[in-house]
Amino acid sequence: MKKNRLGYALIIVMTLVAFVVARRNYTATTAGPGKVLLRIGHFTIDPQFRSFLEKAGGAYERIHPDVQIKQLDIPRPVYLQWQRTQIVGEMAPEIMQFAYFNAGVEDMVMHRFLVLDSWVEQPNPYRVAGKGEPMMWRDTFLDGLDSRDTYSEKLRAYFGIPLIMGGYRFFYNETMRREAGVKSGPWTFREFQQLADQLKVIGKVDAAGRPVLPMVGSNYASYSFFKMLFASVTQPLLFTLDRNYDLDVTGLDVAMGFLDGNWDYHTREILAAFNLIRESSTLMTAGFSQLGKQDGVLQFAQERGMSIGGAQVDMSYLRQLAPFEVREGSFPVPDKNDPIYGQYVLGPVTELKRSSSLTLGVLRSPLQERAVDFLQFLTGTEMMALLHQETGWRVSVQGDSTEADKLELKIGYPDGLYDTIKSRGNPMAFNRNVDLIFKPNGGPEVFADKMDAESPREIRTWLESQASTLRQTLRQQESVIIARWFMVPDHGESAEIDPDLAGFLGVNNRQEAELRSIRRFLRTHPQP
Amino acid sequence: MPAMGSKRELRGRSSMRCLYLVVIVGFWGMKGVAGEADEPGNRKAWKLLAGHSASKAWPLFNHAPLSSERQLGMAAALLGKYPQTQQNVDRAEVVLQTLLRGSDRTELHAPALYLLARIEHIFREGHESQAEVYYRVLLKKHPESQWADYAAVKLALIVLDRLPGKSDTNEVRSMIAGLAEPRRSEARSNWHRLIAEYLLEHGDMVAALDHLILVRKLAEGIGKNRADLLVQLGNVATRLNEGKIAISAYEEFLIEFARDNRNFMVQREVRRIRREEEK
Repeated sequence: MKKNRLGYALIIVMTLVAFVVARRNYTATTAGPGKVLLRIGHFTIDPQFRSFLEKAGGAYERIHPDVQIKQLDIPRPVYLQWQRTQIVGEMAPEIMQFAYFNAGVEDMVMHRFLVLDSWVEQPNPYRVAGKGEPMMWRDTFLDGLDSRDTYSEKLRAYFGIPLIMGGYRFFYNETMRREAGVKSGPWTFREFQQLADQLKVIGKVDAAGRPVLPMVGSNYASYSFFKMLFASVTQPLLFTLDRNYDLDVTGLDVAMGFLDGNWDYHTREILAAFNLIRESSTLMTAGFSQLGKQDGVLQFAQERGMSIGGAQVDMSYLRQLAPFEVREGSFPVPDKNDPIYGQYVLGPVTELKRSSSLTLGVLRSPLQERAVDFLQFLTGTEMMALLHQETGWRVSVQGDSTEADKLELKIGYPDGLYDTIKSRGNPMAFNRNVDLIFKPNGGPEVFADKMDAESPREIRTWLESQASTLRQTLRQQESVIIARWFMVPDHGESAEIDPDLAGFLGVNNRQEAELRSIRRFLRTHPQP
Repeated sequence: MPAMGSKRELRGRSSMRCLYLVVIVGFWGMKGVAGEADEPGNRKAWKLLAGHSASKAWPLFNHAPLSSERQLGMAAALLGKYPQTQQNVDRAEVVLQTLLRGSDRTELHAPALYLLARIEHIFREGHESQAEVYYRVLLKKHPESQWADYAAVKLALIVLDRLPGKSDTNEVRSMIAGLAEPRRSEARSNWHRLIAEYLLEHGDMVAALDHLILVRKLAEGIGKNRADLLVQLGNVATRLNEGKIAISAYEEFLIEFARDNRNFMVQREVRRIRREEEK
């Protein structure tokens, strides 16, 4: 009997302790006498970045003693699953990194993340005002928050705040360049092609005795080069495919344009772009498309090729790994004087825009305003300087003398069309046939034949899914519209429209017009 | 059945006491959670709804005292709850109908009618005619309400959608001329915007340009919506050789959206138009 009583007493004590702890944890994450805990979940596990976040958290805690910052760094391969579990289980950190290259993220962001419009249209209090300031938080970013991660085209709303500029860069072995007597960059595509001969002439071979090629490749490194090559010769399409005259070619423009017969894979610019890609693949190490990112980097460090493409953030570890001097520059793309491709070139391809990355969003929670404040702090003057200092990465916010100025990054025509063509509308057909571009008995014409035959059905299905998602988005907005109207102090019969609500309705109406437009299009373009 | 006062019976009683205690403590814990940051009336629920958190707003409305405001909130939350289900939509419709029949708060009738129209228009498939009926009732019964203005915009979408794809320019223009225009400038701006986009879709740039000019004049707009408008206006005006209009829109865009990705292309366009004007 005594044993039993002891057992019951233990159960009661443990239950009481559990509830007290749970209650304390809860109050610690909301308000009241305890500290507020802000957690940041991210997958950027580079030591330099973690160190930055640790220091930034400490700095924020010093000026806001009631706040505690904690980072949760989760390895990228398991991040998406972890993120979903946390969100569905209502345990999500207040701030989370997200990226659209992770499948299904767009839907998750739409449903669970905070819309940041009202903050980005105001100045960032943590920014030291420069000449002509204060400017809106949005305008302090080098890309004006105009990236797929930060701005949802579907909801026409801002959801993310980026910390760095992504963007792709061309890295090369400066030591080898000097040895080979090659003129310093930037090179045009033709000049880059000639590098193969120059390297042969000096008998440059790698450790295994294989001739050194102008470029090492991997699926990742080649993607960045192909993207820039594609963008360099398809610029006229930015005007001809622009369905609604806003100088922004979206997936819808491309998909509808294809079904309308405004372009296909035999269109001159498209064919030229894939020819250029095939030609450039001969400058890379064999089997590049089968190699992962790390294999490519290893080949570069082993001097099997003189250059490599990659993200701008790769520079810091390339420099750590390579036993030679590494430099970065513009990708060698055709210019207007190119005898074959020059006719399609209107100007430079942008190296500066559309490329912010490492995007953080705020989960809807009682702490959302605090979380936004912390993001403002992170992207303020002091922390952006600290991030650059800790990581060497190009930060997302403009400073007094920007890193872009030092790197002489070009502004130019957008670089997004390759991504749109390969991943919006008919990605399955593209992935099925892309190897035809490189095969000895294949080529761009064979690829184009296949794509033109296989794409219409897939594109139409994709358009249907776009209409369905848009309709879903509009449905979600109705309750928000009613609530925003109700929250306005004067919402009587003759009241004027609140400016915020007017902005929201403006977006809602445009989206609905777009939905109707897609549906009209689908009605007149039946399934082939 | 254990005998009264037996060891088994005593153990059973003790277990029950423990269970009661656990339940009481549990409720205490839960109360702490639910009571946190309570706000008066339904305000917290509306706030959650406005912040895209309909699922969290729903239980608050559902447990609130009976009122017309609660009914409107319930219907809105049912429509916004995730995942969306047909049952929720049907239930929202019933709640709104009850509100319209029973409430003397007439200022809530207009939003209720609007939501009923939206249920038919966007939550149900192929019910445009039913939606149109609600929009027209709203326009007739509450012409001064801002909801009538929103209804006029949505009504235009239904009417334009009915035009056959191959309608000629005059047919489209006369259909547009017959549409009811909203009263408030923000809604009118929206109305002209969607008309302009429809006309562009049909290749009628001349008529579209007039509407785009009105959009710019009527309301400032914000964010990307405004940036797109200025570029569209500049681009359409350029194609119609309206250099002055194009430059004015493009320059406004370059000033207001200094970091927009389209700046490079717009700057080139401005230089090209200026060169052509100088010739």
